[in-house]
Amino acid sequence: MKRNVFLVLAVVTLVTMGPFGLNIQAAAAEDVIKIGVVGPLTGQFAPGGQSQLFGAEMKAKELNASGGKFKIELLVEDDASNSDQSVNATVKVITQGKAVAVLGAVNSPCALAMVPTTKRYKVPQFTFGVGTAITKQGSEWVFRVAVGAPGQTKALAEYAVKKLGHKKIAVLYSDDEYGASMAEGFKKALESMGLQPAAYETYPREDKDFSGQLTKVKSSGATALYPTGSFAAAALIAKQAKQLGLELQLLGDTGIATPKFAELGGDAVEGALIVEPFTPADPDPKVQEFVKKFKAQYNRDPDGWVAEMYDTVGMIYQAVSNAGKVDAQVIRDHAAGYKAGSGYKGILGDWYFDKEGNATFDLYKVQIKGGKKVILER
Amino acid sequence: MDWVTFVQLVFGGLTIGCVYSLVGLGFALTLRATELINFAQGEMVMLGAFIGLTAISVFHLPFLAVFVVALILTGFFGVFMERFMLRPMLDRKAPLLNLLIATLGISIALQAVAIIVWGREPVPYPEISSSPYVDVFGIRLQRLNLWILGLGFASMFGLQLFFQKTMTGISWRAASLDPATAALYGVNRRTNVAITFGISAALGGGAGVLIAPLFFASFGLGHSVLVKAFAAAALGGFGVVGTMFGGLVLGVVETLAAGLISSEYKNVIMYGILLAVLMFFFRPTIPAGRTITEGSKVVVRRTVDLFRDFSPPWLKAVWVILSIGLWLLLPMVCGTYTVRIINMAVILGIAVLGLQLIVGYTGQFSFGHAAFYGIGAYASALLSMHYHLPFYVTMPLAAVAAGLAGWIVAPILRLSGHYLAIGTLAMGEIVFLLMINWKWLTKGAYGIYGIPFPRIGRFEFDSDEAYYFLATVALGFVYFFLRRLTASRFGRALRAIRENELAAVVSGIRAFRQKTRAFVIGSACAGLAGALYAHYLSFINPESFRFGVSVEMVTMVVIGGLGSMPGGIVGSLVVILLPEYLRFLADYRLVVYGGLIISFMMFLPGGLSDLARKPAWWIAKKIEARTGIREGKRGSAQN
Amino acid sequence: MALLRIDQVSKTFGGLTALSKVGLEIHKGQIRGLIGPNGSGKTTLFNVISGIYPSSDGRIAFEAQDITRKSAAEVGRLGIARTFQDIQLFYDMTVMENTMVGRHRLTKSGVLGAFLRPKWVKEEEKLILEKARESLSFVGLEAYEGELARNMSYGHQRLLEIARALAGEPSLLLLDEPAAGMNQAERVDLMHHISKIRDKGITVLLVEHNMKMVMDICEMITVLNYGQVIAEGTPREVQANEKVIEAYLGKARRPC
Repeated sequence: MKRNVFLVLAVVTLVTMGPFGLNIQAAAAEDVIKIGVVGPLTGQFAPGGQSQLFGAEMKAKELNASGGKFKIELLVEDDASNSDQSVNATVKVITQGKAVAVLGAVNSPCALAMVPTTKRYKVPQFTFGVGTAITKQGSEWVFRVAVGAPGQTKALAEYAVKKLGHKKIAVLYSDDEYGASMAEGFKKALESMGLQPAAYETYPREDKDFSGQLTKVKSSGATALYPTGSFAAAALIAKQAKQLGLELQLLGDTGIATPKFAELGGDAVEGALIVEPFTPADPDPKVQEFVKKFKAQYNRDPDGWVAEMYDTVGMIYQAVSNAGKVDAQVIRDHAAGYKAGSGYKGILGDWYFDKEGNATFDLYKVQIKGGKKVILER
Repeated sequence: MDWVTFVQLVFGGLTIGCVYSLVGLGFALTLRATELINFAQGEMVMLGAFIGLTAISVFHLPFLAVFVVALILTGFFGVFMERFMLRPMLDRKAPLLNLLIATLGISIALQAVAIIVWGREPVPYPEISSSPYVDVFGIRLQRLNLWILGLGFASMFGLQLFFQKTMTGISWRAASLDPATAALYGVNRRTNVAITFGISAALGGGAGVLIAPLFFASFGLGHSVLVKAFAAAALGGFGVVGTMFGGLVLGVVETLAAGLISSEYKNVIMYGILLAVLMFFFRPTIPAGRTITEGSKVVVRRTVDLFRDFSPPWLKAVWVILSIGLWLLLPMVCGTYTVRIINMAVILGIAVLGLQLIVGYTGQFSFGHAAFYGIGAYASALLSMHYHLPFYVTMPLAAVAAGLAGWIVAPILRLSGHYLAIGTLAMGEIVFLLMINWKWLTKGAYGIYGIPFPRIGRFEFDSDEAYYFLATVALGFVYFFLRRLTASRFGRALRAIRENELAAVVSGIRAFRQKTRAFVIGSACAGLAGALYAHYLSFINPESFRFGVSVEMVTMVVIGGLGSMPGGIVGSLVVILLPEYLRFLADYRLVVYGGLIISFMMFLPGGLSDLARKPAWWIAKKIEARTGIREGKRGSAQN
Repeated sequence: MALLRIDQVSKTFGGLTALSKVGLEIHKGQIRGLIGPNGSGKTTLFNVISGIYPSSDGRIAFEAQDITRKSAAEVGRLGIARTFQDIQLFYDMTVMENTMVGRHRLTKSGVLGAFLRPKWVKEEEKLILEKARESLSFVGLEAYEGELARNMSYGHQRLLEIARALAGEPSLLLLDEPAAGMNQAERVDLMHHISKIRDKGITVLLVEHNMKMVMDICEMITVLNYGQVIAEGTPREVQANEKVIEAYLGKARRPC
């Protein structure tokens, strides 16, 4: 009581009358497909959030300009890579914004945190987070628009071992869910070929000095190094390895597929081998046109994340057009309905979701030569 | 390993250690002159890195020139920062805690500004010199590292010269030892403080230029060195030469630990050493006369109990019915999203109430409170998933687990002031690292998912609205419990410790014992909140329990008002709601948020509770005039 | 029997010797004065007795119990109360609350009691309140009980510190320069209070610079200089003691 009464009253008033307090329900226009976009726009992983947004945005603009019956509206929320905020943002776009589909999140723990929410509200969620657990929640509303950790690391490991002939590979992973998933996947892939990693070291996510770990790598006699985590960290690792005089074949997953990696790493990342579902180096005219359009709008090369969300938005639109109505269930069923051979035909090729909701992209194996990417195989 | 590699390792360690020394010196100087830990020091590093970047890429200056330019410019910024943001508070003798939070606000705002100006992606530095290597006795050493060591040592040497040989430097030392006497001799305290911030910032900025070629210029650059730089200063006893050595030692130990022992536990080892150093060398033997909350407008004022003393029974009944009605109707009036935010604020609020007991009532620092929040979350999650215990069993058990952890950590309370602050910070980080590395228990970085919703009988609390009732009832209980505790002999003893530990001790209060009790209870509250959190989100991972969350909690306490329980709840609501309101500002959101925190600390040091005093007092006077009822004499401890 | 016995107590800080083989015995019911020039170690001795600094050598016995190694809180709990040269109060607590804290050593309720509030706890609180009121009226501050300590006048703050010390019903009260900063009227008042304290059976050890007060009120006086006891005796004896005069005034100048 006492002055507390004032405090409490003031606060409650503030809260309920605040801009978002009184049930501001968006007017549910019938022909508008509202898609929530939840991802980091601030913080260390902002580049990923940006890619997610740009990809979705570009496709949305295209479709809206094409004059169809339905229009797309993106409801963009920043989660700053914080899983609490991801869930809050999801609840916001669904309950207030009336989104019928949600793209997000970029970080696996955030995507994972969102799963129970999208399940409860029965809204399909499309994420390119790689954490394995995302699709193992028993929710039929989650779709992974990316190749998961096992798939990526398997392809990478097999190529490194079988095609490049490396038997001693060192792994250096960041101590978060992304790094751990990738490292574990890679290790399993090696084990299935009868090998063990030559070194298996971790680093605290924010750390910038890897001399300790790299020394261990050096003494392990490894001929290849797989740094996984943020692309900035991977670039640093590459640089420092070079400084220590290590001549190693660099391996990378889609986390470092962004062109920024080559920019940061400079000549230390020359010759790195990366797996990604999409690469601007693909000479296919459709891809090249896409790259040109993207560059014109956003002033940089698109990466796999951009392509993934570009296709996803396209898929959502298709679902709605086919059924003739804007409905979350419809979108979900449509997405689940693709099969091998009759998948969604997008910039990523002809793809579909498997039983668990994982996308089935083919992966390019790409090598960085002279700062640019060269395709080795698909 | 061969000795070549070993030498390279040590060399690398020295290099990074040199950087820790430089930044740490900034901390040490500021601490000596103003008793303030400047959390924005990390951002000086960041600024230096970016200024250097512009100097190189736009003006194409040589490296040495870039270093000097960055040094000077960040130095000026440091002076500017002190003059306009900190001096008003220092002059008003703002409590240390408020100053700390203000520097945090500065740190947030600066990072946001950096993002706006330079973008959010890390930017590499162009190559410094054409031949990157130098061969010394057959060992390949990085030229860049030599530059860093060279410039670093030169700076520190220069600093020593400054303090030993120049008039300004000597008077600085005099003033930091005994400002009053120095003032008598004409040493202007203000100039001194300005110089201090200028030099500290310059050191940070210079360090930034040195490490940017190694680590890329990015807005998070400062953070990666912040805590370690402080550890370096602590190791060196906050003296100039000491910090220099402290940094080098730390860098080498860290690198060797990673290379020789284990990369997972590298940071645990480092924090462990820091804690050991603090506990052995920085334990005060005499209880402090006043504490970190000295000067704070703590909220135990003339207690005006409008409710008790003035209200006739029918009015009381109306109040009660209104309050209950409001509480019940809230979820219906607000949208689901708002209810969700409120729930988060309430859950955090429970943890914050516990922190309020520790910080606001007992006057102790705790920058590791989130660790207990996390311990409670994990305890409840694991117990309910492995042993299928119902929520109403796991929640109290979570509180017990957190309380137990608090009891284990309690010896750290023998430290005081900044040392306690850093000690609790280190403790929090160690707990976080254990959460990540003890995979057998916590599943490490993957986190735990699929945590079941709380259940009573058939009813499952699976919606935001249902959780609202669960959380608010829990909050009510905790609040009631803590009110009882504080309005008692125990509460008086705690406040006595906060107000004046020396006087408390001679009155027969066993300070350490009482502090421990408060700490354990506060931690248990956090644990309880953690349990609620875990079952609300259904998913927890170590990332949610880091230093940043601890800092957020402390901010909530200060904004609400130190020593005010209701303030703790209000603070929680404000800190959670504010960023939500500011979402429309997009990129500028954090700048404004940081700015608001700074303004708060500058203009409303007593927190919101203090603000509400005036209206309450005014109404009491009015009622008194009207009805002639004087406020009852309240003798026993209030609040 | 001596209430407090200090035996060959020394205290060094690094290279500095603050106290050197100090010996002192106080009997129950006495008002003992402790004087000496600035820096002679009076406050240091207080701090050593009350357990704030450990002594470097020697023994201290209180009521026949050895308290040499006891911590400040333990010493407080045994019934030795003290005030400080630079007043140490709980500034953001009320006058009443300050005094109530003084009674901490005689009371018991803890965390559990605070929460459950059984009858005995409520009774104890009432008793604390009562006794605190008594202390306050003893020093004449009962009208200010709801005021914040920081709002009180300097003279009243000093009295408050004494009230707090008395609330714990100590056997021995150490007063460190209680008259500092007081005006004549306040000093007279203070002397009156000290007498009454002694009349209640509390032994007093008083450090004071105001010679008139010390000579008037103390039965025995101990003089310190450079950390050593240089004289001890009745006020008259001490006044006439050559070493004492020398300590305060320098080498005695024979009137010419």
